[in-house]
Amino acid sequence: MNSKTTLRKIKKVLIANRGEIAVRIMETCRLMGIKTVSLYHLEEKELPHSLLGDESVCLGEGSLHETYLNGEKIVEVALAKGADAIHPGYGFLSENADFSKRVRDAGILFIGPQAETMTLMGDKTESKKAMEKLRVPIIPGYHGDNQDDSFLREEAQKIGYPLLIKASAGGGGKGMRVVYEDDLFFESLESARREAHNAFGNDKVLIEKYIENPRHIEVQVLSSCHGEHFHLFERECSIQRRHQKIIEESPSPALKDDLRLEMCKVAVQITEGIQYEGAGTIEYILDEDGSFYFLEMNTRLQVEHPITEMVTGVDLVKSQIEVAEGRSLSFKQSDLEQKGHAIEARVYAENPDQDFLPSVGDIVTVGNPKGSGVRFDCGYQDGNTVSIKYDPMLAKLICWAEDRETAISKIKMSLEQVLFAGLKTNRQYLQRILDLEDFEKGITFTHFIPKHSEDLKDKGPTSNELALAIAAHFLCSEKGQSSSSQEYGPRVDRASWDLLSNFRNS
Amino acid sequence: MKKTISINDKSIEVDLLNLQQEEIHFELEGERYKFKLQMEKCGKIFLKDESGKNSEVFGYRLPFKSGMTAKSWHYVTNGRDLFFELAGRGKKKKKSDQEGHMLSPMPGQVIKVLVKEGQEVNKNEPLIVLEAMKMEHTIRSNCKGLVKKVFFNQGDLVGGEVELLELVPSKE
Repeated sequence: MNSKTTLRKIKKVLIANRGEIAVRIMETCRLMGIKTVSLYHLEEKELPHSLLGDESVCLGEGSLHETYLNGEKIVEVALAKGADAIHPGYGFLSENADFSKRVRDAGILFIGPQAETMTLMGDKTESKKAMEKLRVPIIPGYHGDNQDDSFLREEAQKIGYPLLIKASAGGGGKGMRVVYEDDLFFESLESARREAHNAFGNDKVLIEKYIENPRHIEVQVLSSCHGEHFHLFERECSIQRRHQKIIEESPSPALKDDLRLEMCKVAVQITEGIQYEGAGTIEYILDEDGSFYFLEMNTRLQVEHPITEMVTGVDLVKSQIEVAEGRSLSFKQSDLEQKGHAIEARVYAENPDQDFLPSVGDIVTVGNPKGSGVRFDCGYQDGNTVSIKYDPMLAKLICWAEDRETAISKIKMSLEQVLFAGLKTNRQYLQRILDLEDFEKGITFTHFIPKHSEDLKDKGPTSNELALAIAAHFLCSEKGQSSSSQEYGPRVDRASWDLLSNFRNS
Repeated sequence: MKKTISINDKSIEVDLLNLQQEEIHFELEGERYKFKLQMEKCGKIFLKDESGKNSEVFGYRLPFKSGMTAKSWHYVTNGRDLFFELAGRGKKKKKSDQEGHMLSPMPGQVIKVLVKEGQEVNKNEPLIVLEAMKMEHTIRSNCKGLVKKVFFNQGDLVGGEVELLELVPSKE
């Protein structure tokens, strides 16, 4: 059942996304000699993804539904611009089967799997049924259509607490609640439904057993339309806050070779079983006893795909494009190996010391870490504004080294160079995580952050850190008073120096 | 000459002993410090201490926005973010610290109002659900009391640090 029988060379790609992932896709397109068309919201005129496409088209100033989620408009733009393919990135329309159909019906290649597999894997209930048929292990739970409150509560009591309520159509932690007590079931159910409805337009939920000491392990898969079904090993993404991954690594420190092989083998069994095409991710929950359960399959590129690229040397976006063109993969399974160790840390505009509240505002300057084995995928540049409209992820820092220990110290040092001047970010929080002994030892479960919440609290600046900043402040304020005005920082207005001079004389 | 600077929302007192073009001497938390300015360029400030140790500090003045009562800077030393604020005059007590005043912690949209005016609530009871950046945040009461006034309705957009709801704390 190959969906593509003829080769079709892609010459121009429209990227139906924004931020760092749009920029990242453009980079590979440029390497492949493919032109890009990027999209932007009116407020994003100055963001890199709006500026770096060979062409870019403004989607207006409406809501998400009128812009990045407006499939009809996006296909119109692609046709008008003569794009022969659309790359959906992650999030937004990337797992929307109707959108992929609309794209293909317009005669444009969709860089992603077939609509049927997207529909199947997008429905957590249906996908689990399919997995049962393929004899893939799944977690006990209720995945049925009966959404009656009391019925769900009875099912919950049968499964036992703690349990998880999840949006059937969900992902990324939205519409997800852990319930520890029966008394809190209804409150959590209502909240999960509301969040699910707002995020996905569908409030159907499922409930399942909550594993106390789980690890989140996922396997990158890649299939062509010529029956090639490969895996690109695992990523461990156990470090999560509010059910969203913030630190990921490959290989996982928890896997011995035989378990790794087994998990990768099952992943390939799945892609063969559903006749998958393109790049995807099989997510598992790994229990402490070594048993693992299928969680879900993401039929798209993952946020954390760069760590796989760094250990395998495969450009996943390039492979996605080749598969969409109807070509075979340019390597064999036996060519692939995990070399060294890669870690990714996600930099968010949020305040971890205040319950991870999103922070918004203007970025005065972006500080980019550089060096061999250091990759910084960033969606913002100097002078950009971070608004409440989008996900608070600003950038991803990825570091590669020969072994895990070196990779950890390398990413800790590189994080010091990450800077979003003017904005509160989770950067120091990421450093605190990487500093913990349990992380160093690879004792990483998905409840790592709540478990270490005390250790992860801000200890406050040292006197020496304060002293340096104070010295810098007064010494450089002084200079600004002179008429030659050797100002520091890109935006300094006279008024501030006047204010400072008054202050000094007081 | 004593100076007070707000650093990461904490008031810090510095006693400036000597400040010259390229040298500073001051006392902070009972310790004396002396630094020389080596160079500053494009937000990078290089300092040398008395023992000759070199340090690099990033420093940025943040753009002034309407509604702000203070000038602010962002410094980074040793990978630590330090937000400086120099108030014009006087200090506003943050209402968020006061019992009964429920402020929005960030700009967002009111998804649901869970209580009515005149209703009695317990401490930590969910009052209002906000959504920002696609995530929900539940605002819970910071004391036991009576709902005096709800300032927003479902669907309203709210700014950061805006009073959402007022409670009359009950005396117990």
